[in-house]
Amino acid sequence: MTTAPGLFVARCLVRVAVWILVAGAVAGPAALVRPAASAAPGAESPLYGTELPADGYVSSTSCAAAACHGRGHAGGMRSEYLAWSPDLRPGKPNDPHARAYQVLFNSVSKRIASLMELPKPAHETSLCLKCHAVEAVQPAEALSEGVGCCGCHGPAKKWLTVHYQPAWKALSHREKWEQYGFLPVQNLTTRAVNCAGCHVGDATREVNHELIAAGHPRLTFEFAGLHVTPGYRKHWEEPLAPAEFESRAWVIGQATSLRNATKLLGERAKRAESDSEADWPEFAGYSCVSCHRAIRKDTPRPVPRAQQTRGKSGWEMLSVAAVDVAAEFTPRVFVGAAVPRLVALGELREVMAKGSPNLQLVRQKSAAAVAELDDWLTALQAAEDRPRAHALAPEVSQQLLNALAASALTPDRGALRDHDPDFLAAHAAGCRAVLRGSPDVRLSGHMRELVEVLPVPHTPNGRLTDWGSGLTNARMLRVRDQFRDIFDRTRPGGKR
Amino acid sequence: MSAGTWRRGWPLAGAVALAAVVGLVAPSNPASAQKPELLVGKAGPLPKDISPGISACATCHSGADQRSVNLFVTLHKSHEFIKFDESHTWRGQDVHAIAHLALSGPLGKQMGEDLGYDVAKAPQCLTCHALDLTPTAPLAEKQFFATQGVNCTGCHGTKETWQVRHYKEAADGSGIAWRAMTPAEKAEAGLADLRNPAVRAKKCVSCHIGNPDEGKVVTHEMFSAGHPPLPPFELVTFQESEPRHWGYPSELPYFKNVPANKTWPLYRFHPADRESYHARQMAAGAVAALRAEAQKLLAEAREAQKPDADGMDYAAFDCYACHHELRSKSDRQSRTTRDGRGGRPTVRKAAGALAGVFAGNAAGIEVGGLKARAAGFDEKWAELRAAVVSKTFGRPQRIATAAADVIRWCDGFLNVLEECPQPIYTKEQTDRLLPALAAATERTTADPDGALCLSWAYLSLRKSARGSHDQERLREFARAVPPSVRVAPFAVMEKEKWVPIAPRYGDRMDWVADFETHRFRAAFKSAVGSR
Repeated sequence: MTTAPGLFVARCLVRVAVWILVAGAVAGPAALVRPAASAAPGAESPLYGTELPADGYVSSTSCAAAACHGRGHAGGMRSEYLAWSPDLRPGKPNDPHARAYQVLFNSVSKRIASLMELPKPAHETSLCLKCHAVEAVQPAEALSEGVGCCGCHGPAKKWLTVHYQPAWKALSHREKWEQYGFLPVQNLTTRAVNCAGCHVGDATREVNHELIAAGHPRLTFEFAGLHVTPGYRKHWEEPLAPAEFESRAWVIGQATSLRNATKLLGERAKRAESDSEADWPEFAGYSCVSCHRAIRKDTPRPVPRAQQTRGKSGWEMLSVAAVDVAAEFTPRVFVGAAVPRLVALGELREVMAKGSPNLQLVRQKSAAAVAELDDWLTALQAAEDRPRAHALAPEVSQQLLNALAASALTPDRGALRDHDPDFLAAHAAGCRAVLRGSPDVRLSGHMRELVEVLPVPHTPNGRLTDWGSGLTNARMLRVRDQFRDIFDRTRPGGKR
Repeated sequence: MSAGTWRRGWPLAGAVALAAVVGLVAPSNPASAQKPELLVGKAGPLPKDISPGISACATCHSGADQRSVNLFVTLHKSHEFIKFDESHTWRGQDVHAIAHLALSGPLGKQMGEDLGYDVAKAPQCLTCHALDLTPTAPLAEKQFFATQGVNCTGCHGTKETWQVRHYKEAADGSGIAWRAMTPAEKAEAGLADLRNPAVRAKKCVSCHIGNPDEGKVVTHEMFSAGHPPLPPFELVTFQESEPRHWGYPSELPYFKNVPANKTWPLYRFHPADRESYHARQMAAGAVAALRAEAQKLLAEAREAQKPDADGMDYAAFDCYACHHELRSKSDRQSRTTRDGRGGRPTVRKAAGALAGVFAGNAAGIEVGGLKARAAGFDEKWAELRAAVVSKTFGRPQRIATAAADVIRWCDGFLNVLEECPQPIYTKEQTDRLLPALAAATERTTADPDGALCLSWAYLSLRKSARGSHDQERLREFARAVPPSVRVAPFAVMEKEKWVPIAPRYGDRMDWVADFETHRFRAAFKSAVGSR
């Protein structure tokens, strides 16, 4: 019996060692993420530009004067309105925001309305108008503009006659927002958070599973990738160098999607707690393919996932899969920003691995996780508002690529860490963003192949709803080989 | 030595025997070995009055030409009564024989790795993959006979009493007394009344769908670790997919000479001109399957109401409500009727599709009081469907009430099928069933299992009716749907060499994955013709 304490200690040590190994194996790059030492709360002023004012929205025609944004040269200076407005010639590039309202009249929208037994047609239903138009726009006829200028730039009533005067330029981004309700979307964080309001959802806007089951396409928000959607006619130019823009946009996009998804989750939990009719769990918050996988002869098996119970679905897989890489790279991409603390997020993910997650726990944990993510975004927003003193270190793109490939693979690089297409797409989309910014001749061919093998959000033909069908073991092996190759070639001293 | 002592001592011996039998080199785990959960092998005492092995059966049931059965053939004409090569068929061609062996094959090993337990020893696996010798015991205290998979005694009864009595000749030379006994008397002695369609159906579905009261449940965790998806249950098709070791009454000479008033009371059938043997079996299968589905839902709903429960297990719902590929133009959105909000897991619709046909048909059958017992199906089934989609994963309390109601309905229906001595499915009724089955295919949308179940039922009934229908068109349709439960036949070699299980059900799964309602309906219509 004398050896018992020694044995006990030894057992504990073994257990600790096992846990470290397991944690390392499971978390992968997450193990590298340390809580930010300098992220004292309140160090930065809080995140701004998140809650849009209720009114003051004007018609886009207010912006369209020929001397202002309505010059007749799409793509040229002061022709923003024309670049945005619908181009009726088929196959011409355009801005889908201008057609957001019109789609509410098409056959899919009609079928959705009928399947959901909506009391009014889609174009008169607030649920739809919240994202397919600027719902509070005045006059109401301007609803038909779809997502017009004010949808992204903020309600213009207060700043319409001010924003071209010399004093405007002297205002900071924050001042423009706080005093006038103008959204400084040049700040990529501010931009991303506002895109995500519709493209992910927020407290008042969402695409839930009932809507998707009735035929609404699923949402796939990947901020960096959205900027290069094929056929999308941008009405602005990015001031940042491509390498800088892509890596920043990717990190910001990761933080933003997850923040909005987590906020929405908290709202849904709150709703379900007070209303027994509300859906819980809400399937729209999970990876579609974790359930919607046909069981074919050659369907790849799901592989054990980090923080996930076997046979249970993956919560926000597209948003969480690569978030640890984004966190890890925050200080390298944004000089002066620290690695964010994402402890509550980890706890939330554990709670969400249950079949019927506990409402109260979800509400608590999601509030704490949103606070963490808000801190992260605050730092990113502040970094975006600071004048850039340093250019992106040239090796960061390569390191980021390497970290993304490593995160997609098991620690021994022998297999994919998960077969969920959302998990793979999250990593593939990150790789694509990095490569857009830093075209690497050796890798671009591989990326093309990777894209062929794997549907990522916003594939050229935009088949969002065919996501994940036709998965086979052979395809999974090819994807694994692609990531392995990217990993090998981006390693310091790796193969050329 | 008390019973308790040998029970405690048994499992280890059993585990060793198992390891020897299946060639496992599993490290022994003292912790789990102490649990009395597995009884396998030949050595040692068995529970009193229980004889689960087949060596005794095989002595006689290995062929009518054997010397050992000479007397039974020449004197008692037993070969006109049974096929007599049952053990041979079972051992060589019946997958039930590898039910337990399959657990130590590649898929079993893979599942074990994923699940974190040895599936060849876990009671939750053995309840279906072996013989449960203690049916009323809780899962943790069960004892099993595993080495022969699901053998003769698994279905016919493990009690030694009937095994000894069923061939004993009377001392006065009047023949085999057992033959004159009624099925009820035989059941009393331990022989299950499997000739009775309802009894047989309940026995089959207890594994092929599940029975939580007997610890037979395939959980979603097991499925996700690789357990093959269970096909929809249709008794006649399942039987036809088997290497039948038994004959239909029409195939066995003995039954031609049984007086009409004895066919049902003694042998549970009516002559073909009075009742369709297969229709009654099919009805029993359909209703027993629905009962088993409702029973699963009831158990899950009860479980989900406990504090700290993690909701209902996904396996209680329709697999293909979720497990379908996402398509831009999906026929899932063409459905015209819904039970509530869309986008929620549904009840396994196939379970009600076939039962519904028989319920509707029974509205015109007064015999045995079937009409009265069958009344109210539509409302009860609709309420169960609605309860399951009343919320995401349903409201457990409402599900429990609705499921219990459906179970009561099924019991009433099954009771008539089990007890009613008169013919129920006359030629007239059977002729009405075929168009009813065809009409039911028009009501099922985005439900591959339901479509399969109805198709199987239609083809089976057509085959047994052998009407004037265009056989060529029917054959064509049979090519358009997976014609049977298993596609590839079982071969003896599978016992010696592991054959992957996927090819046996893979084609069916591909068919399910590619299923489109309108294509299926068109194929069905073209085969069946205008009604």
